[in-house]
Amino acid sequence: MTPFSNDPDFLDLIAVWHQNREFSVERKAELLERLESDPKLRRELAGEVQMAALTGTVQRGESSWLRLEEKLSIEEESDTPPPHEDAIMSRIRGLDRTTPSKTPTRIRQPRNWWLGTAAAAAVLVLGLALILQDGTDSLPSEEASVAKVIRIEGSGRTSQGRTLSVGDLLRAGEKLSMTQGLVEMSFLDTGVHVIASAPLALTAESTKRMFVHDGEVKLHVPPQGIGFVVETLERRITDLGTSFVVTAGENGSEVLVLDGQIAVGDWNGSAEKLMFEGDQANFARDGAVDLHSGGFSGVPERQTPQGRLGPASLRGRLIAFEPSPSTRSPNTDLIGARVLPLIRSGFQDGSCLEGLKQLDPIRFAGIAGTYNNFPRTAGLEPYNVQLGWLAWYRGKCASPEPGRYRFWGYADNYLLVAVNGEPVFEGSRTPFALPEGLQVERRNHPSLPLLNNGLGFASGEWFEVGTDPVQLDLLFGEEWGNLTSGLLLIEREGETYEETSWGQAKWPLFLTEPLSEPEINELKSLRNHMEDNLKGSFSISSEAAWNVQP
Amino acid sequence: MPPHPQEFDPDPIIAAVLRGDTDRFRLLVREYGLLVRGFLATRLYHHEDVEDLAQDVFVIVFEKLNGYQPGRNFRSWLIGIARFELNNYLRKNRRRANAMERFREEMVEAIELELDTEHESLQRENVERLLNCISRLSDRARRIVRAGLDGARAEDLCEELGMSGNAIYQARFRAHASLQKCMAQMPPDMPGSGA
Repeated sequence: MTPFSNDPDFLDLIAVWHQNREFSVERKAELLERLESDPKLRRELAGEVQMAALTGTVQRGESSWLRLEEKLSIEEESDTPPPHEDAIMSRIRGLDRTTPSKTPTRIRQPRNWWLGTAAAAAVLVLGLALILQDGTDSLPSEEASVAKVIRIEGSGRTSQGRTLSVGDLLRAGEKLSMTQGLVEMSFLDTGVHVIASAPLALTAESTKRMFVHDGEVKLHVPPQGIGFVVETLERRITDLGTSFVVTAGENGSEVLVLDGQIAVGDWNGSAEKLMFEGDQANFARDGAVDLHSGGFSGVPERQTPQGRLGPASLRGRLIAFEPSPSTRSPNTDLIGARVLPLIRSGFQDGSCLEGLKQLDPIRFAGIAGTYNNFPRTAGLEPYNVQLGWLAWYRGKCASPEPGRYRFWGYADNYLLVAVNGEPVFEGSRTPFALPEGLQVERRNHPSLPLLNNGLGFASGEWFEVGTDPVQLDLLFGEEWGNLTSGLLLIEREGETYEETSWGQAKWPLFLTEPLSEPEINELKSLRNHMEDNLKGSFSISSEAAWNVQP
Repeated sequence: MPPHPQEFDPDPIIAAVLRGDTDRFRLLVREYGLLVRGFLATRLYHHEDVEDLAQDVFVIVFEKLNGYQPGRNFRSWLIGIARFELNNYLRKNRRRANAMERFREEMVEAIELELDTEHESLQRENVERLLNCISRLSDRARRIVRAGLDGARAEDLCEELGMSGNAIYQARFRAHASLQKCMAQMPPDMPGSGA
């Protein structure tokens, strides 16, 4: 044993170290003086401090550093690209094997290649039919035609004075202008599928290239169209097998990648940047560039977000929003403001939603995971990814047994639950309808992990449910873009729930009917992923499901 | 000087990270995480502060990785960043610290050189040895070593074990001495093994 084990100064010093023990000013001065004058004591104390730190550190195990993980994930999605032209060419040739998969663990939607392929095939057949027709001198020649109009709502006029109808062909270099409505086109040969909304001005330069002067254009590019170029005044965007949205206007242009990846270069053709799913960039006329990485929630996309609608299903509608006449302000929640009258009326007055495109009915199958492509997979068309969507589920439900309940969860962006017309939970990323706001009691739990960042779950107030069914209204949606995730769980007061190894109760997913086996399997996979990577969890219990009443 | 064949060589991993394979940065975190946390834990009282600051350090290391020159001592570079961040943290929080926390800082300053010497002698395999040696402690000693981790207050531990405060500190000190002896005796090629 060292001579210090019974040294009162040494014992007092380690008492300070281990327990912050209080001493008088005089005693502290004595201890410091002894330390300064006694190198052996310093070594002994340093050894003890080092051992205490080490034993503490090693016994606590590995850390879960969400911020670092988030940073690494973002960098993985947007790491330094190879030179612009090289990257494009190698990808077009299918030779690039050097860039690792950006989303190796994500369960991806099967791409709708068949859409583009079918469109291309249809266009080719129609084109052939036109070639075989005589007397088509009023139409552009086949050689000069680059795109075909599939659908048009509103009046579209070309620079050659033509008013376009379904089936018409756009010629190379011909400019299409629309003041209202939308047009759906397919580019010949490449099969590139375009939905463009007015106010619009675009020039179809060739079957592989278009210029967007003004308006919003959403493109889906099939394999044969890889390399298709969209130009704006500010940027040249080359598709690398994807779907994306380009918006051009008097202040500049903007691109949002919905799926896959694109290459964005300037007009000098110099190397710039590859962009991936969820990435968004603004290019101002003055040359300013504002890039936003979509990040990576790390949570798989739900493959079965809806399932089959049955008599016991909680039904809802999926609503696509339209541009607001007012200028968009970063401080204004336009969807929230529009929906606020509905919420304030106890979900009785839905007139604020009149005129909006709605998909009705849809089925509620719980909220868990990522819903980046939910509008598309649900079949909501047309849908403008920059204007957001909202699912409103509504019905009378009976709880599995009477008692007090509360919801837990979070969504990016919107999640709100009302019982008998009264909001009892809001887990929206930011409260509905800021800056006016909605006063829903909410507790945040930063210590509990979350789907896509470190802020933690929110919980709502307790509410009482008897034997009678209650009116349930549930809102879930996205304000803008396509990075949507959510989780909605329910807790019954007094119930004992299994806990994770880190002490988080595994509250059951809020369900309103038993799920199918594929749905349950998917949710289990999601839970495993969350537990392994995000330290989040939940349980799946048909006994905890609420029952929809006729 | 090239590293010993069995030593962890960070340079190829750093090169891969800089080439865009950011996933490999996690290897550096795994290799050096305990060293950084251990370093910070000798200066900070609250475990949460240690974890937060250690994470900050690795985020900064990741951001500044292209400033590291291959062939140099990565560990020293890393600990240099940790020390810089620690000093920043202490400076920012000095005004909020109470009298005992300030005294604790003064105490650490007094043994700074000795702490550095201790830390430099620490190798990763020591950590594995340490875990193994902790498992060999008596139940009572292990309880004392774990007390802080389990959130046990000194008074509660005294009552539980029927010991005075000083006796607890003495016992802990003895347990640490036993651990050091155990680690020193463990064969170098079997850091985590042995019954």
